[in-house]
Amino acid sequence: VSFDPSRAARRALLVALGSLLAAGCGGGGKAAGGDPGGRRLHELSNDPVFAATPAAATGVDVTKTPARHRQPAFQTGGWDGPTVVVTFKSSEPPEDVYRFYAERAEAAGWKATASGSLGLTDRWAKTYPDGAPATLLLFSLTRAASAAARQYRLAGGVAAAQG
Amino acid sequence: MHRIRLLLAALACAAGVAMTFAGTSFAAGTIVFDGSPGTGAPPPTLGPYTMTPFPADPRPLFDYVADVPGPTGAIGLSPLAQHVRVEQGWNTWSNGYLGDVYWSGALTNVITLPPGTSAFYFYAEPNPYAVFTITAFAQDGTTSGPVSVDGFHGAQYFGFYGLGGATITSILVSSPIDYALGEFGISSGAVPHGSYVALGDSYSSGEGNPPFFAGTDGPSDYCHRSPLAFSYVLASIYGSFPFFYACSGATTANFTTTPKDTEPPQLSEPGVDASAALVTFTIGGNDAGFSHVLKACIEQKLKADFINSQTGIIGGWLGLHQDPSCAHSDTFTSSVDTAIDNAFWPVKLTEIATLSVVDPANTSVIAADYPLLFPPSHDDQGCLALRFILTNDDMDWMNVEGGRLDAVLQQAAGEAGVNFVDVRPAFAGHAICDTNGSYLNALSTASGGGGACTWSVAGHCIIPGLPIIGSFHPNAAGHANGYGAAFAGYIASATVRTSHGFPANPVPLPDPPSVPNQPQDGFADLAVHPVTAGSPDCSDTYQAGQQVTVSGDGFQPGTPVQLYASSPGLGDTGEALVAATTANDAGEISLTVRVPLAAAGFTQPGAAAGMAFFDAIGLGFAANHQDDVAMIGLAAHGSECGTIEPLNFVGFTPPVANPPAVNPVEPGRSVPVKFSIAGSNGTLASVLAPGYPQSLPVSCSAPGEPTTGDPTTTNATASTLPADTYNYVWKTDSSWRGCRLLIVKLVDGSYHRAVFDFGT
Repeated sequence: VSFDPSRAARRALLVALGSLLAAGCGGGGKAAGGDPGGRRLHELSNDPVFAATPAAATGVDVTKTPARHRQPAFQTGGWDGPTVVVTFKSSEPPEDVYRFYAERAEAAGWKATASGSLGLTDRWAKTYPDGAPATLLLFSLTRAASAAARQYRLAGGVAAAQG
Repeated sequence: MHRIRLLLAALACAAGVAMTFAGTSFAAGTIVFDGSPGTGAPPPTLGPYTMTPFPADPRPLFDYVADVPGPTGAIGLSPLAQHVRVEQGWNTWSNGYLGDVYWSGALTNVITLPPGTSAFYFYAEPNPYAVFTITAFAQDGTTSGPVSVDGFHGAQYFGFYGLGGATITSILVSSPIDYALGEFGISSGAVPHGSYVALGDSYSSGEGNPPFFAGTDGPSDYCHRSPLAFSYVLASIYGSFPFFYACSGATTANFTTTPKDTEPPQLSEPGVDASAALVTFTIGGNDAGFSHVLKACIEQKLKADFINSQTGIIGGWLGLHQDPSCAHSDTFTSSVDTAIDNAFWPVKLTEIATLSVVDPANTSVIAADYPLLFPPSHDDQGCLALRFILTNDDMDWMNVEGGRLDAVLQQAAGEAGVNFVDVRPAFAGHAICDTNGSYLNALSTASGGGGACTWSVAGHCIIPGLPIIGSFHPNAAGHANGYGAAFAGYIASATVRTSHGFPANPVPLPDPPSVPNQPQDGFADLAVHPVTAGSPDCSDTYQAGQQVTVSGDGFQPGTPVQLYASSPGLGDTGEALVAATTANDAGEISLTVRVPLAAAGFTQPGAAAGMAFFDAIGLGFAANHQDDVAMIGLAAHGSECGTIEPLNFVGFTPPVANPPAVNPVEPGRSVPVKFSIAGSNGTLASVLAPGYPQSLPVSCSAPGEPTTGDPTTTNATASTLPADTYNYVWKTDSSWRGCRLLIVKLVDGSYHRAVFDFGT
């Protein structure tokens, strides 16, 4: 048998993942659940709340992540639901950014659930017609109050279907 | 005044009653015993509940009663008990109590509580002036254990309370001697959530410390939140029970963006807002994949030990031995370093996001790191729990990597501007197998077994099932004396505090020059299923050439993905490209391929089968390089495990013509018999059935379809590289005349024939 030792070591890392399935650990199996066909991701991606960013937003980046089953070792596993994350910078007053999304979220049927450090609504919830519960969070990634431009992240997530 | 002295009546067998009692069904949630007040006065709270003492009982003394009126309704006593009072029918008690007590003379008494009772306490004192044990059981079997109680001014406190929605319906008390019960207190209130929020991963949830709160141990939520988690230790100190959202398996994404099963992102949960006084968490370990590293190293040692024991000394000479230590691979350790370093930004940004959703001026946010798992001493590492699963080098290296992760987490907390608790000093001397007693589970079935067999081939278990869930996590002592003590010590020593009295968040360290994340490998599972199922005992075991469906995910939608097989027999590299496909819009792939015919599998003498791997490799959405992997068993052809579906024999190729054409050949010449089989990835040795090809004389015009003939010989060494085309160089005999039929039988059992005319 001729086998590259470095690959063998990498293989060992990979084997751990594969064998976890065989180990039948808790947290549900991969076979059932998730987001078949990416339907929930599609639904979330097309939510009107993601259709626009504040007028002065720059560096807009949109990341869509499909549902994924994870099985960390020695812990329980489970489905991570699909997400849509919009990251952008804005030099507008933070209050304006939060109000912009509060209005858009309300118009799109999201229900406010909490407010954050500015006392403004920054979290919402919604149930899509197929019964999928979804959450929406808006938070700042810039700590310095004096920053000329602040970076924000609007994160939407939907629970994966349970098998 | 005399103490009541009565002959002990022959009542129910205490043990028998206790067993029956403990066996009754238990509603959702957890019941906790607390006897810490001892002989002292009852505290105003029990667990999270504010308690109400029973009022004085106005009924006549010395009457036998079946109940006692209380603030939330009457409690039942069985059997009947005589109503007496301290110093009025019962001589002594404790903590200065002079109120009502109840004595039945029985060794076993059952107290039935009003519906909705969330907490209840009582005191008990033996009848004789001597020390006896008294044991109390809640209806779910939660017990005080035997408590030594002095019959002379020694009445002891017994308290039970429910968490996670559990209520107390009855308490059974037993002792080898008769005793009095009294000084009751009760609560029917809900848990008074304070402004403490406990977020995080499995080190915060209490993984490995069952029972878990109702709804967090399946069937759709496995967050495994335990009342033994350090957050409840802190709650008992600060009197504010947590909003508890920590979840086993959580990553930073599960804080900010990503629901985990039925649980929304932790920062979107109720109570995670400006009203929070304290937020604690551990996070980052799963982002770094540390648990996978640990498990990989364990499996490498187990497999290496197995293979090395099978191959013996000669195997070592032949280079067949495997290194049991993952730490000896630079590629591996470098990959782990990168994964740990790359956890920095997700953790830092998550901590900044946490500050964004609370009140950073008044909410104390405290992150903690992880303890080092293994003792520094090689002597201690040689304990039974460790020496068979990890090498000394691996344990030393993993402690170094644990320190690396902790440093990354500390830097992230500093730059984010949250408090940071280094728990390593609290765990020092208490690693797994440490001589001072471990604060951590070793390989453990604490939270559930890992199945009967981790890896089986052809029904034979090669590596026994690892009891996995909850292993390498803090035990109850680790939560109390490790994490709990470390957090409490940090909080107590704070010099700058919020308005709530917790440590103020520090001024963030200046951001260092931005360093982008290094390219990172992402690993995930690749599911393999047979197109044609074998026997039920052959899970994950196939034959070379068998068709399987392979599916995976985690790829960038719309990007190409290559599927490779790895096994001895697949050339010098040990790899073969099996197929290529494109990830769909959900980042998933699914395709049907054949296990390469040439795959021989990693086999050992006496083994029923070997093993091989499939890798689907492409761009990941969460990593620069995504590798979904599956390990499969590979059984011999003809085994009951698997089958070979008909091969796609395309036909003979020039210079050999397919029937009904007759191929003229000069006797004694060698004939290159070429043919192709789409998707087979085989070699001649792997595609031909044993003993074939064969040939026999036939009529040139009507050769028929015989299946056997004389063995043929080849005069060339066939290529060992797997491919879909094959070339069998047939050495013909110079004495042959007339027509002969060449019969090629393949491993799928199919026959293919060509006619050759050797002249007259």
